Amino acid sequence: MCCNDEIRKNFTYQNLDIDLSLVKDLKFFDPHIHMVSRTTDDYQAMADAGIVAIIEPAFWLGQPRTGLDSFRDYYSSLIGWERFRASQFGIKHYCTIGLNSREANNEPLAEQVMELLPRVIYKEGVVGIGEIGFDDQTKAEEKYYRLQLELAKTASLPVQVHTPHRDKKQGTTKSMKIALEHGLDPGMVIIDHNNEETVKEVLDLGFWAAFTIYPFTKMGNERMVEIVKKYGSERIMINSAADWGISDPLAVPKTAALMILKGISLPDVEKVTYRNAISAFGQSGMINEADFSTPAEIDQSASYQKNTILRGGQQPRIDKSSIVIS
Amino acid sequence: MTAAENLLLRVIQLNTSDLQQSWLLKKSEEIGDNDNQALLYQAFGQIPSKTNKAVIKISELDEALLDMLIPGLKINHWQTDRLCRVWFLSQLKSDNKEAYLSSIKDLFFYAELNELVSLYSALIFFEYPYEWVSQAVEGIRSNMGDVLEAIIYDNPYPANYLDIDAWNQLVCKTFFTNKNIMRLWGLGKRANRALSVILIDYANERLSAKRSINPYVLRLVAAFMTAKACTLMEKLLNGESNIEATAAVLVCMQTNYLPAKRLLLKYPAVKEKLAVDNLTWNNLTKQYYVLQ
Repeated sequence: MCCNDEIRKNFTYQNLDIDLSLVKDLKFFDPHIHMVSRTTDDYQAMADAGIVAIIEPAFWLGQPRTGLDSFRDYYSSLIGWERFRASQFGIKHYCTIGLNSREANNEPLAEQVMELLPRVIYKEGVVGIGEIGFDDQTKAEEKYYRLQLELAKTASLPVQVHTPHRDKKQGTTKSMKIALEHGLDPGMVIIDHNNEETVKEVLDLGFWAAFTIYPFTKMGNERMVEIVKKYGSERIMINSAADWGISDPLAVPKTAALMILKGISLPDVEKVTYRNAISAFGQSGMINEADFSTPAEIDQSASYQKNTILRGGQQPRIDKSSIVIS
Repeated sequence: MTAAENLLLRVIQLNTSDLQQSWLLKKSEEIGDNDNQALLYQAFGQIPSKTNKAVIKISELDEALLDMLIPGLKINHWQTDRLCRVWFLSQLKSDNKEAYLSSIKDLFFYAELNELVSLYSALIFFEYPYEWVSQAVEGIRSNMGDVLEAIIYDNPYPANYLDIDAWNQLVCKTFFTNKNIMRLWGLGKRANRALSVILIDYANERLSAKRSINPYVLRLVAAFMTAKACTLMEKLLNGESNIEATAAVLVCMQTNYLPAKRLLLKYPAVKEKLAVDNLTWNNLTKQYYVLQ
């Protein structure tokens, strides 16, 4: 999540030519991206860049929902429509389901959402409870964070924890302390949106440390390279958290390219941009790597049932280099 | 259990391990014994993880048997979890109509993508078949390709139970989304004049847009020829597409409408070509899809 005045101040480009040829043989797993806010152009570019699977955490849509049905329909889109949309581009779509911290502050509605969650979290492709945690660090946020940790325990699902923008260090520490208090195995908890200040404690306590490469408000990927150099690749993963703000759905492959350019070993790159996400969220029992590790049939002329109808309505490619649209 | 449900169970037994089968049977019994909705949706949701997702193997004999029991139904492309879900749904107790309808509607309401596919595949097995028409119509509105395919492909429910408007909408959507029309069962028995009028307009729109026309569009027009349809056929006979011209010839051969018959005399060359190629609607339509 993003958006503040810093963006305008910082809005200058310092270009390093994009060279994704460095990573053309790699596969990527982006474990945090909000595709409901993205276009088909993004899906196409992601598939082209080697992203084979993604996790879409349930989040705040930019303005608060005012009724339960909005939540239900949103969850429904994460396990239905968006999953289908991704499949059209050969991308395997998973999600985490939860009540985000901001909307936990509307308590009457939060109560109803809590009753709804058990109907959704056991569905196929739901790989965790998320993103939950703190925003303002209010009492209500804490209450629903705790309740959802219990839910995750009951369902044996990993937890994807959003850490706050403001007062991040203390918010992160508190999030982990509470998770341990509830008896969660830190190996089942992914602490998200880390930075140089939080990473050590997260790793020391045995949690997974996720890093969001998001311009202006979160990590830049040059900083990310330094973190991997310093801390290695164990229990570290990278995501884009691309959403309705100025963000980059190619953050994971671009960062992989930069890491290779800066001399990080291929196995380390593979771990932080693919393997670790599968290990962490695969504990849900809902990820079958074979579903996306072998090249999907996205050959547009591939035949199915002896004709060329695209499977599941796979999208034909449009020629974007032409001003003619046909 | 009906003979068809029995057959499904036999196919399940051939495609699952002992452990997987016994889990499924146990859950089905448990739910039969009490009206616990939570038990129902949990078991329904767990089927893929408790059984398997391999595409099923089914013998030609069983396929033929199934087609005899439920004409139009083909399951050879299903995955095991889908088959298990459909069978599981077919075993729900239906004596209390209200409870039965509401518990299945609830499953639709909260369903994820694969669950939706199974639910729409199971329409033909549900009791009170006409109660599901509005749900099927809702499914036809879906833009999720997998859901649409579950309704269109090898599913006899639409042809058996949809009213004429809903059926016509389904046929149009099949063309519009470029799904394989040859797998929509019951086209012949549900052909109607209103559909033919819509399809002639549709074909003319495609022609104006310089887009290709599916031969089956013309096939469905053949029994209801009009002057307007004849004009369209003549345009196609003069057009650039060999497939469309050939389809137009097939239409003119099959109709008793005289002005269309006269077109055959006017364009003998095309007709001769047809005799050489030994074309049928299905061969022609396969060619059409290959070129898409």
